[in-house]
Amino acid sequence: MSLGAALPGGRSLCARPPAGIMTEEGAAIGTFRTFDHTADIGLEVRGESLEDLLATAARGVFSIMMDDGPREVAAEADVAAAPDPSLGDDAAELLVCWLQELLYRFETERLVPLEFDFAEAGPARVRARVGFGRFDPERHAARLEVKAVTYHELAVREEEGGMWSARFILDV
Amino acid sequence: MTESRSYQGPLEPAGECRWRIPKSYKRGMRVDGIIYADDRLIQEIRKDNAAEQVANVACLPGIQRASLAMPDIHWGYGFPIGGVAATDPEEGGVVSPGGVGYDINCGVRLLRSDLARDQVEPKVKQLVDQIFRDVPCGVGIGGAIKFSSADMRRVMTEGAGFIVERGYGWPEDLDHTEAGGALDGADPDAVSKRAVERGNDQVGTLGAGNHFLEVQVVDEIFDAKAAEAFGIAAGTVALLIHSGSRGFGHQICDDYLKLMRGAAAKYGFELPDPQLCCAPVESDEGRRYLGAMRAAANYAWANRQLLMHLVRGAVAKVFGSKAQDLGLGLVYDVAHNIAKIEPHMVDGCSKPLCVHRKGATRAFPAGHPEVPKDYRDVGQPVLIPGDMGRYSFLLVGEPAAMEETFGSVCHGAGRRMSRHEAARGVRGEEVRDRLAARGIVARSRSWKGLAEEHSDAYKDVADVVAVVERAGLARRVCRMRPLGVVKG
Repeated sequence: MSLGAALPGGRSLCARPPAGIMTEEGAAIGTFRTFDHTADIGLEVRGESLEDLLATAARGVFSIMMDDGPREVAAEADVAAAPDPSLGDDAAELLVCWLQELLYRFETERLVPLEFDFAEAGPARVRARVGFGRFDPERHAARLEVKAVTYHELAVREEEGGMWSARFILDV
Repeated sequence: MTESRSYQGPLEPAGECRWRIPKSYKRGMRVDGIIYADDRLIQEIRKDNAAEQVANVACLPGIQRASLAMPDIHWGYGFPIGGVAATDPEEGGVVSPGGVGYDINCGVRLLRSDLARDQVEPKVKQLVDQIFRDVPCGVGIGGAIKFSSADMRRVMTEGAGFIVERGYGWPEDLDHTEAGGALDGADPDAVSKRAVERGNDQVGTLGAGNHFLEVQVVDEIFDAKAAEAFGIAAGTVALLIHSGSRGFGHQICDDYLKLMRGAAAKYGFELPDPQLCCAPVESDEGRRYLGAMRAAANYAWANRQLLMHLVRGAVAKVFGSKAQDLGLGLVYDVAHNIAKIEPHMVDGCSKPLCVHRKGATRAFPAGHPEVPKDYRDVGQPVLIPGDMGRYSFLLVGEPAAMEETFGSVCHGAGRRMSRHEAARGVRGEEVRDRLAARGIVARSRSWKGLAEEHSDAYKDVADVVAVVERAGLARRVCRMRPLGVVKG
């Protein structure tokens, strides 16, 4: 299934690229790139839609956390995230909330997001059915603990032609 | 490292190992910035724009004396890491979550022992393996105990004391822990359900990244009287634990950064950096943050207390004796990411100030009432860990720290290479083997993580400590070299 293909009901299912992919090439659909930021790590993400951006950002964060994580979906769950309304309808806030929700799921249930089926993505909230792999410390290898998605140099933009880009830094 | 800008502003020599950023440098600065560094370190410090952050912190409402920075300073979120700032609540002084950091009460504790180096060296691998088995460490690794909601409330309010009461430690451990292992004024109701959910199975877990456990040998004594007071003897083995408040603290910081982001506008603050978001200490937001921060600080002390219990158990197993018989006493435990209300002298009067230490350690001198009674003639132990291949130091606070830095000094070495740079062309297994060639046994859950933490990635902590000593803020008591390292 190709990225962004529409399913009945207007939802799109984002296909899963190979796990652990990290590219430093120029921008491409649904890609992420890491960069150094003093003692922490930054991500630059591009997607062909806001949904694609959110999915790719999630994969990017977990690729940093995992040396060798789960690759098969073991459980599905609904994930919803919505920034505080007082902070406005801001795609950057939405991205941070979404990633924080996924980090919370990992920390409390050891779930690693692998596949995404968005019911709603912006401006005020995101809702998705997420296929998770289960992290097993006996079989998998993690590398870095992400303490938080920071607000430093946080930027999310919709560009010409409907592409989306994001840049953010993780406190590790 | 690749923070995009280097500092171009003024750094005026201001005494031995002191550099001033005058408050005329930048609109909004209420006090000068003072950076403690020697001529070589100040050139490093210029490179990552941390000095600009020192100037920004000087703009905080109610800031007293100066915006301070230690010789291990490097760039952080809003506040630099290695920064100290004290505000006066009575003057509308603020508290800022960025002045504490995500890992609230990240800190260090040091155990002494009666074991000599030549007793431990033949068994170092066995000991490191035992610690690695017994102490949960690494990403996604939970603790042996999952605390109920009721227990979590006690962790938040009683800190290390609750852990000792449960049988995981000795009563005298609390005498040798900063704040007795718990700050008063923790408010569990100011802590989100999400923070509790993240933290309830992480008490007694090391974490990952730059957290570690080390088996060390005391290889040089500089101050015999202080070493004796602390129970430290040359050639004996010590154990160092570096960890913090885990996901519990990270969530609290996240929660309150969100809350505080609206507060600056609400209170009419003009801040040069939005990441300095803050609220008056005497405000609803300020009180709630401090209540939650104290809960996280207490959680971290509980965490390090339980980690110590597990380490004592591992040592006891390997050497076939009880921990008490091996003399595994706690020397001291310090926080290096925290905000505390402390009395300090301002214009000749003692005032309660909100002291932020972000990557900085409290260092009280001899005679201070908060120094444990059995150390009071000497001063407060200050633990300064280095990177895993070199050494760590034990210092003691000096009076100049109270006069100048609100009783604060540095906290460690600080990175000089990014993670990518450090790991480039180096595998974790090679780092392990290089350490082994120097007689250091390393175990890690992640080889890639180990590669990012090798010695060359860090500054030399001896250089940092030398500055603190030359500046008169603290003096060295002893140096400890690693024999074994456990990382998550």
